[in-house]
Amino acid sequence: MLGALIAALFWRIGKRSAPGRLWIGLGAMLVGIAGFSAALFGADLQTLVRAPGERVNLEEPQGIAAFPFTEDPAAASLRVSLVRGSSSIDVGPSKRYLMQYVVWTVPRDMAEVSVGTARDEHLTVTQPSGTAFLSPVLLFAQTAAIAGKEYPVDTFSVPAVRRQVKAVYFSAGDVARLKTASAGPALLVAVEDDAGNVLPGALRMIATGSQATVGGLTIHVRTLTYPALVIASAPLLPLLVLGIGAYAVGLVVWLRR
Amino acid sequence: MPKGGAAIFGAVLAAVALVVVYLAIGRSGPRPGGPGSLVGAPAPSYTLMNLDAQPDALDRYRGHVVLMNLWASWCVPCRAEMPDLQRLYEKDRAKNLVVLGVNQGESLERARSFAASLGIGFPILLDRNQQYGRAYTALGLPTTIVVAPNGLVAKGFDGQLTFPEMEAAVAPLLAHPSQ
Repeated sequence: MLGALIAALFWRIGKRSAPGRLWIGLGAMLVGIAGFSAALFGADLQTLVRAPGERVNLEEPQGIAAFPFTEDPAAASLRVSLVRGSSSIDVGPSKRYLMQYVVWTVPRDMAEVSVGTARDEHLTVTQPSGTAFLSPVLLFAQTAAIAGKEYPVDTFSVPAVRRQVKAVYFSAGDVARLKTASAGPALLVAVEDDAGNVLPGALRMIATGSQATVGGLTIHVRTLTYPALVIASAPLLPLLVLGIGAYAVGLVVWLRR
Repeated sequence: MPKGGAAIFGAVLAAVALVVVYLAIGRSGPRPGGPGSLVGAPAPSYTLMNLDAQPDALDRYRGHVVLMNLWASWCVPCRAEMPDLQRLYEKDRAKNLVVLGVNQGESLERARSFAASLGIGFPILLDRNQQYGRAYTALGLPTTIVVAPNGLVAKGFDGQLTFPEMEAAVAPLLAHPSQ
């Protein structure tokens, strides 16, 4: 919009004779068109929250977003790869231009669960309503109010024993306020049967890095900070460069007159 | 500026504006997921233990046509599909086909007894952390992925396949491995 206004202004000035007016007008107008179209027609800001190891086929910017695996619970420094054909671009917290998009990562709290029977026989974890059915990583896309405060919540299933588990994420600060013996983030888990009834005594807080037997399931919890990919629309970069170039040329010609 | 020049200038600007608006129209975001969404992309591979407690991975079978099947013992359609997978393996293994089972999240004992009860002879990986399930964005179990000899995902299927469907999935690649 600003570019269009500047263009109109210089066009008016130019009408009165300044050489270079065409370049100035053209440059400002190109910048204006690029900015205006990105703001008006560009995609909405999107944040892709995915578990370590997930791959997402993207429409635009075209490619596959590969979220790396990690054994490191403090994985915020990790970079998401955008695989485009045979090349790959690493995306981190710094913004990167990709034609008409800007991409970057933001840290996000998640929790990985590992579930077994009371005899420690490992079991499959599924998330029928999650972004990946076979992921044992909880992304906490929802929140729920508990005692007047919003907490991230998620659910997972253990189909081999027909159990559903609801999990509430408590940050290190939340845990400190609860004055429990543990430090660091923790999950409050509730184990339910097929009908959605919480099993007797199956409600427990499990600190990160530890495990507990709840409702007949041994649940190990590991919280992690992991990058989410943010995609925003931006003015088309070649047009922006072209516009700024034309504007600069016009300005030089005009000033040298 | 002469009148003709102004008209050309205006037309060029209008064309630029149209192209830019077309390019800027928001399409960002993920395509629908599922095992078929990675067709044409390099097939992710992770080294895991097999039922003999030896390290094994999908990319070890590069150069073969691989029909990879994600399964779990509690999954009823997975059990129903297994005899057909074994039949396909026996029929086409001499033609460069590898059937690779990937157990999702279960113990070695459970996977081993399941495979033994059904007389499974093809290699099976134990994917305790469900890495393959995540990477191939499985929508459920069973999930089947066909990987070409060049290591690219050729096809992806959600749900149980019949024997003719399995044959049809691998036949073009067995006939023309360079596809």
